[in-house]
Amino acid sequence: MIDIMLITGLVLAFNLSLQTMGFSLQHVTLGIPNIAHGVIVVIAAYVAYLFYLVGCSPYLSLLVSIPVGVALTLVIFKTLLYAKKRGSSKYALLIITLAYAVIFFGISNIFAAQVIALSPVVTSYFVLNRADFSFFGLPGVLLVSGVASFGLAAGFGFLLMKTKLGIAMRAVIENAPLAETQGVDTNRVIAIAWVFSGALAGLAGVLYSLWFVVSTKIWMLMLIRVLCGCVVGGIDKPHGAFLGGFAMGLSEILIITALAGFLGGWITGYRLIIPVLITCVVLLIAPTGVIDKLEKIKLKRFKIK
Amino acid sequence: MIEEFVIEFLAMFAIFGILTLALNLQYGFMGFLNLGIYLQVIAGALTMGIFPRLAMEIFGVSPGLDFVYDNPQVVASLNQSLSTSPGVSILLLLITIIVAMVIAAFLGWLFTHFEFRLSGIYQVIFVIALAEIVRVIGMRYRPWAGGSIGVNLPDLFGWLGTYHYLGRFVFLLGVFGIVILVFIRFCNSPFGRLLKTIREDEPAAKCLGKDTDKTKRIAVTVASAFAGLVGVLFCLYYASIIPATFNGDDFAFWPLAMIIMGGTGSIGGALLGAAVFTFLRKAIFMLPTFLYFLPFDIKFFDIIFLGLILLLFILYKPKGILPEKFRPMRIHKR
Repeated sequence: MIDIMLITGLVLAFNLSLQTMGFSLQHVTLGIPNIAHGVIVVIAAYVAYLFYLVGCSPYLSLLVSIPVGVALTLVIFKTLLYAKKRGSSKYALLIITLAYAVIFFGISNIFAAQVIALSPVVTSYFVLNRADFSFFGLPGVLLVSGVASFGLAAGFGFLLMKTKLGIAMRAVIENAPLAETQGVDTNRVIAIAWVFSGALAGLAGVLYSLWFVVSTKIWMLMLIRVLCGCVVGGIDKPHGAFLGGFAMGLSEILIITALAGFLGGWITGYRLIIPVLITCVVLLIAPTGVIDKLEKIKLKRFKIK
Repeated sequence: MIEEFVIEFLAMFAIFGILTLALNLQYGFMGFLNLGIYLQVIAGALTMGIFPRLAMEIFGVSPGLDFVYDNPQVVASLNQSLSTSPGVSILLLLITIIVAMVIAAFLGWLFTHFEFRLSGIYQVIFVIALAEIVRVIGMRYRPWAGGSIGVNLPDLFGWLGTYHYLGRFVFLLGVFGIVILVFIRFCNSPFGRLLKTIREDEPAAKCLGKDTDKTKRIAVTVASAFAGLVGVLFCLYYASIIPATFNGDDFAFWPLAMIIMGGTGSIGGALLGAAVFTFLRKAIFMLPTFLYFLPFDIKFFDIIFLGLILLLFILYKPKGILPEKFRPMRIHKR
């Protein structure tokens, strides 16, 4: 029997790695962090809650939540492209995503109020772990999120390395104008990347609600965790961000559990501080992310040989 | 009803006006989008916890009582003592403001060492993360300022008798006026022009021998001090500290919307934006009495409205209503 805190840590780690992968993919393609990402995750979680209240399995809600995530992400993407055409600065693009985050937060509140009205107990918080299946005494969400996170990361890596679309995407990430001169439809490639990350957000929201408590206010919490994971792993590299998100989710839960053993349960209220502290330390050691350091070490060893 | 609305509007205009000016110094003048400015606001608000404790020491009232856990008794006895001693009240007020501004400025200065290591846009979310941490600490740590429940504060204007509410209001407007004058002097000084140079072209400023990092640090520190002042004034006006009220929406995103609507890099624009937005928000919160038939809470509409205004202005009028004026430099003829 695996310890419950280890399960919590792993579920959070898988979930965060899904989110950081999407988040950093959005960053490398357009050069802007999508602040509304966390709100889309929360909306997807409420879609799962709606399915649960109607009587379906939350896993079935993936059929709706992923398209919802994709649609909301595409709305942001289209606006960003329009603004880019009008010659907005990078800060202006960032503020557009912020504006969308705020609009979606308002919409998610209204949607949540309608969903909560359906439930027998009126609370602003919910968790769906009762609707989950179990295998060998372990929660199903552990299996599903683990398979989804590593499977999608591997699949996406394969896509980047082996297919024509992946090569085009890497070219766009490296140098978009140059890729355009070679006949790559950059907007289409970037749109595919954004669709993929929107789908990841929809998936992550549903999986999050199966183990953790959700309310509309957690989007900021989500954003901070995702950002810290991205910065630690390496913003400009999706595989680095994936590892960073995984390490961040696991370390947050395990460190706080260890600390709670020493200092008492009151410390769990401050657990958001751990990712940010780790980020501060990492920024001082490796400002471009841990993955850069790792790759440099590899190169050095190669040269000595 | 109308009088209350006007007083409330002017007070909020003063508070958000100062915050908008502080944010405008960083975003409009320097190009550093410091959305974590509510860190300093919370720090200032939490510093307000000092003066009731000082007052308890001075008056020696209620030795066995704790300020947070026995809040009503302590506040009642302090109110009685403070209402008869105007000198102590004013002294406490000044001490609190100075301490809060110093602490906020120190925090601003400290965190620049991390913030400036990050590239342009990741700075922005990193400062939000830092601010959220301080907010979490403020909300969770009960012994200092009551945690998520908050504490009531004794009235520092009790010595004015029946005019104490008016006194608070006039004090607020007075501070606001002083801050506007300070900002006008500060932003039109050579230092302000140097900030604009850094915003436009940092390598060029470096080439001219300016220490850009130090300049940016000073500007952030000054703006942080005024953000701390905002926290103090907010708590003073409502005579309570409730850390949960200082959230990112109200104290970072709304001021940003005010600046973008009014005009980035101009003091008049920031103030105009603050006035318009404060008025509209107050009006929206009064709407529920007329729009009772809607199926959802009107305060969610408030936030959608904020997003829409931000979006429309950044897309179609990114320089705002009162854009920054570029005065050509006077060239001396020889």
